Amino acid sequence: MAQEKARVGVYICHCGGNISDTVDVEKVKEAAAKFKGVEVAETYEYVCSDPGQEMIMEGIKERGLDRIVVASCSPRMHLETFRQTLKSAGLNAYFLDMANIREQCSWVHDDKEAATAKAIDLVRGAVERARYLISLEPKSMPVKQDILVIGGGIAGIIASLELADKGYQVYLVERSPSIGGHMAQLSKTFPTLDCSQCILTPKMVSAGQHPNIKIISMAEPAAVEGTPGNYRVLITQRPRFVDASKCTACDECAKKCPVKVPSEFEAELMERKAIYSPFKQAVPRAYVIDTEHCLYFTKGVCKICEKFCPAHAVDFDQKEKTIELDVGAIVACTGFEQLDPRRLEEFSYGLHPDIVTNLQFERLMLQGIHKPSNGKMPKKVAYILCVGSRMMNTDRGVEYCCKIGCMAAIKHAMLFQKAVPDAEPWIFYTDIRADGKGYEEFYATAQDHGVRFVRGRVAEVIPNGEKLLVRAEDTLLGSNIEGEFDLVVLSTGILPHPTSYELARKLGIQVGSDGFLLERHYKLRPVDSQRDGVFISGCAVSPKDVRETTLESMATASRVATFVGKGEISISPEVAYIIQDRCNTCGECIEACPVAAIEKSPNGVTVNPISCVGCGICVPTCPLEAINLNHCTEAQLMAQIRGLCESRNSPKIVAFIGGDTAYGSADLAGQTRESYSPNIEIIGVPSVGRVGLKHVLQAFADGADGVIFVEGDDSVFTEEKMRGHVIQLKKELSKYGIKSLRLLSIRTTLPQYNKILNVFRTLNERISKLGSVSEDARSKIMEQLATA
Amino acid sequence: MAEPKNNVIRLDELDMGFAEAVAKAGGEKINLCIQCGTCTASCPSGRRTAFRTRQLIRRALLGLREEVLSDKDLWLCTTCYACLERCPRGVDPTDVILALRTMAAKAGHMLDRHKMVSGFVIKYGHAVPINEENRKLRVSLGLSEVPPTTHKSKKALNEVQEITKKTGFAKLVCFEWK
Repeated sequence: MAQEKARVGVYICHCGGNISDTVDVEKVKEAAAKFKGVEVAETYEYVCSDPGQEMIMEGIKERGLDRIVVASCSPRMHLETFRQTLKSAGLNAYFLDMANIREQCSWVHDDKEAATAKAIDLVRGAVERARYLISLEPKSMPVKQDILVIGGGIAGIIASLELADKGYQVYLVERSPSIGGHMAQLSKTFPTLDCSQCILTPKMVSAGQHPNIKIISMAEPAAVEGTPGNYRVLITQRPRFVDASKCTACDECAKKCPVKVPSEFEAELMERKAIYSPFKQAVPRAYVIDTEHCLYFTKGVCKICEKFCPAHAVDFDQKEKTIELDVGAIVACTGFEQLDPRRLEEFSYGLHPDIVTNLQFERLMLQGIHKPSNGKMPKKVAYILCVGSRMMNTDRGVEYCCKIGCMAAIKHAMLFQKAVPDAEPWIFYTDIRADGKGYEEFYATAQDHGVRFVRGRVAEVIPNGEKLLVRAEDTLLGSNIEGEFDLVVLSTGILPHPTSYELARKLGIQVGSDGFLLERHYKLRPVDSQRDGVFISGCAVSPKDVRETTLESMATASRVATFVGKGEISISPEVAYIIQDRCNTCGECIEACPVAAIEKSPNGVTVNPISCVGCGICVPTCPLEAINLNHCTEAQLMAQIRGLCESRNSPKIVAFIGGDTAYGSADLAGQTRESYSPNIEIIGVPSVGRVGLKHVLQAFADGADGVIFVEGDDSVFTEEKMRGHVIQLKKELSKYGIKSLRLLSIRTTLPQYNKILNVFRTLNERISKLGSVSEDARSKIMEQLATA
Repeated sequence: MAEPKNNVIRLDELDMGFAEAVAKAGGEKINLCIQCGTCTASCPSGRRTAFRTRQLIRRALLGLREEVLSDKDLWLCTTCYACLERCPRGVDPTDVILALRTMAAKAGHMLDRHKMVSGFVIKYGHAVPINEENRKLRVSLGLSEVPPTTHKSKKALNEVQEITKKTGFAKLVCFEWK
């Protein structure tokens, strides 16, 4: 129903030039003042600042405003800020609408006149919608107090200990047989040269013995269900084939086992048996059978370990287990793996045993430094930095810095000097990055100790009998430099662990274009994922050293405690509801609902507000218009379309962007200052499945010449459903004389904003060939809409 | 490599648009260079000559237009593509060099030897025209003395020459028509 008496206040932000340099905010203000229902239109330098918010509060209290439109940055940035403002002034928080004139206007356009015209359209759309806004109240539900930590490296161990010490029950799930991660493999740590095991092992033991931590090793999450604060996670645990409660780690089984396998823990420089403990300080200590190599599992014979185990702990009958956990929050810290240097053949990795990775060098130092080829002591060692890092050709390497290579190489050179009296370590570097506490001093110490530094990235390593020829340019002199070495150590690039992509998909969180887990906000919410109640930490987020990982995990633990500690979580009121006196219980909406939130009972059809994700896909499927979506009602959406299209700036393209991921992606185009044509105007909807024929027709009738649908790849509105929806719309449109070519749809992930830019460009090119929709066609649609 | 004229590079004497021009002429990714030296150390020509790929790119990036284009070393690259294969930044140094050569040729800095070879293309339709020795070799192998190319066909040669005229190639390499 029309809110004829709505008193709207419009507040337009300069954003300190971010908006006002490109959009003439005074012109927008003049235009807005004339819109129907607008009582107040103001501009301000920073509307989000205290004085800016006070302006709004004053408007509500003193001038009787009951609907507020803020034209500023993306609602992803400040929706909550301004909702609080309304609340503080005693107005319902849902009486707010925002026009995104920064990320989706001033930052993507250069032409001031066109950007201003577009901003006016966006504000008009928001004002029209605001007039139809209805007050809503969020409900709340209790948050489960247990926490799941995925990944038992140093990041997961620290996060678990912190949370357990705060009193929360923590489930620490680790994929491999022991916690400890990569840090357990390190010799010493830079820049203090602390023994890595000596500082890690006590933490591992604490985690193993903590009354609030349950370690679930050899396990991975299989499925994640539920909502923030109330997740149900199914964990699949592979069998160890050794009873952990009986095994005393006496090693008798391994002594008898006839099968030798390269040891993962020793970076394949030594062997282990098919029944083994990954390393002496492993937690849990129990041995494990490697079913890929065990003779019983591969050939059906042997079982010698079972025979010789004095504790009778070997148990070939163990089965895979599924463990169900109900948790309030989840922490993902799945760590990293190193880039395979075989991808860069000029470094000859794999062609000579004395070319090793820096992780292998850690093991060589702990095993007693030797050349893998013949066990002899090396004298001249080349440390080659940036192998596969900082590379713009991404088929061979990764674009980002590995963050640890410089300091690790300096550490290695110094440890090597200590171990070998006449050692000659050479470090070939691109740039020495020593920006941590004590790192520059550490670099200077290495210089002082006679570690040789060459400023040049190595071009090639050529095996030559026992020796290895290394070639580079000393770029400081401009001369080629080469020499023969006994051992070559490659500082390889860092990649997110290969399981992290699949885990992200299960958790419903995003990964960035670099493959690492994506934070909610780069600067201000660096350990929150894109989903409430799911947090991230460590090298799964970006490459980092032990100190930084510890810092981050402590921060993550704090964020988790803040989330879980509140005890309850508010449930969005933006859910679907049935208009009972129109509903004939046909069940179309039940079919359409992707999360089974709609049920039929003898009392009629109802929507479960806890299960409902507010996508609105059900709304257009109802033949009787008996279902609607709070905060994106039929009236609100139609009003916004009308408002946006009214100006008839031709040719006009309306882009419906569905869901937070896709909307965020469009914002990202703005944040990276890409540009697109200003005739494209965006309406954010919970899902493009919310947008039906009626809305698309309204857009064309009101002045649109093209319509775009953009949906996030993670949406509950699946690709298949979306395709069906769009095909149906195209068919219907042609019945109304609108060429189906005028409707385009794509799906995108958050970082792939280029897809959005491409679809904008494509439709614009098409429209320039097709021309505008004729006024005749528009008025015909209008008539038909009016009669229907 | 030519020595700088004086010891101080004056910022106001640099061609600030030069790197951009090189990018447009085909060395698209030149700006991504981090001067790591992989190109120079990979360069088989540079191991034997004064050719220094990294320094050439640095000069171009800085805007030392004349110094770069007039540098005779620019023509020492054999386009073996080792630097392009290995450059971590995807600068494609070989493409940068080819772009610089195009610009150098247009600015009249082409080496005489290259002009001479180009002259052969115009005069004979071959960069390496047939000689007495090859004529004899062909006959001994049972082939016609002259191959069925511009060497045999006056018409085909005329067409080649017409192309070099119309594209401006003949003028670019200062070919003197008799």
